[in-house]
Amino acid sequence: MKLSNSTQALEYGMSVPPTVAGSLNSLHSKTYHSEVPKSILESTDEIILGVDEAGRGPVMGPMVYGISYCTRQYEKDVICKYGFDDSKKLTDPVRQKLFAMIYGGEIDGVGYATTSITACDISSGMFRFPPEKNYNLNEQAHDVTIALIDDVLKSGVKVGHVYVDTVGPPISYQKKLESIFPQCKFTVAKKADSIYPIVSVASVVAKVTRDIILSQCKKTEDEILGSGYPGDSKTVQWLRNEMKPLMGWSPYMVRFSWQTCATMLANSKSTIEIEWEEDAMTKKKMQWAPEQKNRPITLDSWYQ
Amino acid sequence: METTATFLPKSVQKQCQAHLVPCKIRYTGQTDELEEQFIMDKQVISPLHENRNVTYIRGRKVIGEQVVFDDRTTYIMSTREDDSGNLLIEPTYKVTEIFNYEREGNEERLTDEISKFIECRELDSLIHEG
Repeated sequence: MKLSNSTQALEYGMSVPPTVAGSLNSLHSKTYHSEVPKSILESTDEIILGVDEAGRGPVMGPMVYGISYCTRQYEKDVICKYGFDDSKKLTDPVRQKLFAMIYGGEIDGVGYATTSITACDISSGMFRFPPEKNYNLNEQAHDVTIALIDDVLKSGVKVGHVYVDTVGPPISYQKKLESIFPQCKFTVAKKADSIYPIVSVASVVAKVTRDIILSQCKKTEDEILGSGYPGDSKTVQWLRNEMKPLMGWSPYMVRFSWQTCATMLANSKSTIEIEWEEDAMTKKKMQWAPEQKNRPITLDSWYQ
Repeated sequence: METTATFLPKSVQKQCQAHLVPCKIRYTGQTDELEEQFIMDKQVISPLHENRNVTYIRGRKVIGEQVVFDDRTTYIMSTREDDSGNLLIEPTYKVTEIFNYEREGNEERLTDEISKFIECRELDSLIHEG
């Protein structure tokens, strides 16, 4: 996979965040942890931690989970003053600028981490066979969140309260997290990024990381990917342009497990049909190949 | 009129690997897509995939193992018809290595299939020895 120049990828003149490098050109999910700020390790104040994701819905690029943590006092005194208290107000350039302030050291009382779950890992997990082995998106998301929180606790941070943004049912997820980490209090809520500033920080970390990884995947600087959402006509156009008859798309880039991909492959006249075992399972009866006159019985003709 | 199928022995120089994948690909012919898209994944994520080939076909992870036949030579055959409609079969590639694949989640079948195939070949040898 060719990558474009990082200078172009960062539209607003920032340096590349440290959360990005390990995930470039990787088939598999990568995690990055910042150093734990000394002020957090030495503090007697309660430590709060926020969790949010970016890129759950898109058909291309990684889904990035971001966490951020600081003392409750630091959230009140510093985080809110920088405008993290209302994530709806944050535009792309503002997000990049704010994250640059965190990894650049200006906002130095915040620790952060990301896991970028690659398109390849998302698809292959969801496509495991037989179907009972399927590793669905929710499980993947929960496991990554749990691992990120666990890593922070193991690094010596005494986290008191964790705020999690979720798209799924919050109650059962909160109970699950409470049973795994009985030492922490949990608040799992929908749209938590617009309620809790520390979740808003996590949201910025995740979104900026995803956006830059995706832009770095461009083969040329003027390649148009769109937002990555299946409803975006630019993204659909990119998928049409890049689709190959046999293999479809690059596994580095595209989530084949999205219905958009299946539909596009099925509807294209130039695509080669590939049947999987589960396709045969859903057929009403076994389809046998018609007998061909004068053909020897070979393994491939039997298998048709 | 009845037609025949004839095997035409021929020495072949061209060599290839054969990858037996767990899906039906409704195409027979050449492709240049495999050069870029048939990626051998070297990062071992699961202990079940150690010392095995791992690659991806349209987002599905497939796990492969080499199948060794020390006492046999394998060829890719092509077929054509002569003017009378007789089928002619001739070797076009000598297969240097064969890999058999299964889907991630179904790795157990990889070992089951191979052991059954070996048993079948042993039985075949016993029958034909006499």
